[in-house]
Amino acid sequence: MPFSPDVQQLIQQVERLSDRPVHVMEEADLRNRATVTPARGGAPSHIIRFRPGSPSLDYLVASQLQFLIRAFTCPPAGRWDVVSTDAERDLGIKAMGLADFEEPFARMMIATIITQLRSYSIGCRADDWIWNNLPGLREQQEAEIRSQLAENERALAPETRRKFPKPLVDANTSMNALFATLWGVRLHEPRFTIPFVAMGYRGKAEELRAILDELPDDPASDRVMIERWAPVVGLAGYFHFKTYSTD
Amino acid sequence: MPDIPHDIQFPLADFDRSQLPEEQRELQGDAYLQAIREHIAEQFVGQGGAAEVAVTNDRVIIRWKESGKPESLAEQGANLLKKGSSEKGVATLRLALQRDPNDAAALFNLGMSLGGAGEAAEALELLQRLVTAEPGYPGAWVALGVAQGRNEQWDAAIKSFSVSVSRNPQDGFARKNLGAALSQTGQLDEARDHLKAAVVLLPSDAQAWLNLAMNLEQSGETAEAEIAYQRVIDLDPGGHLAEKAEAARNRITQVKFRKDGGGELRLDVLTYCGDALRMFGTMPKEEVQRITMEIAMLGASGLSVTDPSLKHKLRHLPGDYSGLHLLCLEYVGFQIIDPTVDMGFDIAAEYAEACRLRGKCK
Repeated sequence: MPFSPDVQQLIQQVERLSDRPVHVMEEADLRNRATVTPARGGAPSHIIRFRPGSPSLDYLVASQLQFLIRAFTCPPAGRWDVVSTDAERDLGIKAMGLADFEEPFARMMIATIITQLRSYSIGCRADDWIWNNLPGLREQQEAEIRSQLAENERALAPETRRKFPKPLVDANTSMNALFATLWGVRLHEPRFTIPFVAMGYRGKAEELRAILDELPDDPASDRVMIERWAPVVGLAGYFHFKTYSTD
Repeated sequence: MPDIPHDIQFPLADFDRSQLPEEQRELQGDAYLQAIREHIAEQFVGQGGAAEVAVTNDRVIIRWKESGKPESLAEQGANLLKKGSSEKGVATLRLALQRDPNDAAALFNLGMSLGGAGEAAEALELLQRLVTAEPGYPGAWVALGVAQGRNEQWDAAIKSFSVSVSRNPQDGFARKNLGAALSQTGQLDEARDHLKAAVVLLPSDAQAWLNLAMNLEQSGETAEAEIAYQRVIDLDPGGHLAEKAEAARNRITQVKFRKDGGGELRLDVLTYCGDALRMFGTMPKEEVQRITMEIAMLGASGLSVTDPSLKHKLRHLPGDYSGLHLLCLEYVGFQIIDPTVDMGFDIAAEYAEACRLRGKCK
């Protein structure tokens, strides 16, 4: 697959840091734009999947590679996964107002919101790095971010919000509000934040931003950032960190 | 970037009342919906693109497009000026300059606006600053030259316009203004080159044609001047430039007409006036008026006083007439129905003599 030289360098960096190959593959029915599955146990390579047809492929792959780079920049003891015990998960389902839903759906939703907590917090760092260090991908990054912002706006629709319980919707919207705030500043488009402010999410977005600003942009602080964001969006106590190893 | 249209809807129940000004937080019904609409619409002001906000009984709807970058203060000020809000526009541009004294767009627009409003000294100062800070700003040197011209600083204006022309010889506005300034200072020949270039670059600019026509007239090139004046009339029908062109064209005709008569009374005109006096003397005033107005209407599209052919007919008077004959009839007609009307063509001397000969007029 013909990736830009920037992306090829990042792939090499990941392979060097982790001593594992990187495979990038299309997946037509992927729910997200791109995902990464780090190598572990029986899966000897890192797998990055992306939805085909994206004009921003280099950026999407680069951002997933950044997650791996941040993880493997830490010493082995400082690498971790975010996981939930059954008890944590059940508590989370209750706290997020998902108890009345079918169990598989409730489990999927609690896992999704915890994944968002991780991907948004570390994703802010990954995006910063790409913006500042890979100007060749900036156009793709901006297009993808604008598209993500528009998608987040659509999630505000009454028809969408009323399908889910309020605590879950609030957790999701708070993180989306921060995303709009950060990119509103960077792209000189403060209007991205207008609907979130109108709905009263400015405070949550500011709390999340303050944590982001207080902590150093150092992969070693990523775990602390997730820990500190969790109570702001109502997810503290519903997951824990487990040491990650490729073995 | 693709111009992604944003169509945002969120539940009215999720609107945070504390976002509204304190006195509006307890509003109910339509007043509440209106307050939300206005509040959100206000947030979009000055952010470029287009936005609309609607509030229904169950949701808030916001639609906006990203087209264009958010407006800078200077752009906001310039747009306010364009919309006719000069006070707000000037205040916004001043604010832009407080934030950045060298904001080129603010210097340009504020300088232009103040110059047009009679605040010549400040306009000059701003535009001087502009050409110092950003000499390549589009239109900067022309704007400065115009401001200098308004202050009667013609030599300085010529220098400014010349800089503009040398930076961009294809700038029709610079050529037009340089030509006008040179004409103003009597440098007619040099001016004419620029004015001729200006009408090539700006073929639909009536002012450019008028400047050229006036230069040609002053230079004695009356045939070319008449053509240029006619172009002004075609481009600005009924406008004040056409009015000036019309007056000038009449003036040229008059000069030519008198020159043909060697500066003496024209016998042909004297005869026409005498005939008209005799004919109108037997008619009721209403009929004189009908004939006079018909000729005036005909004359609006131009009557040649130098063409002797009998090519004109009137509905209210039988016979074939030359242009000069009709003008004489019209002149005498107006003397009878309304002597205050200025036809722009003076045959008062012939008319007075005709009256004297008939022993009838004052």
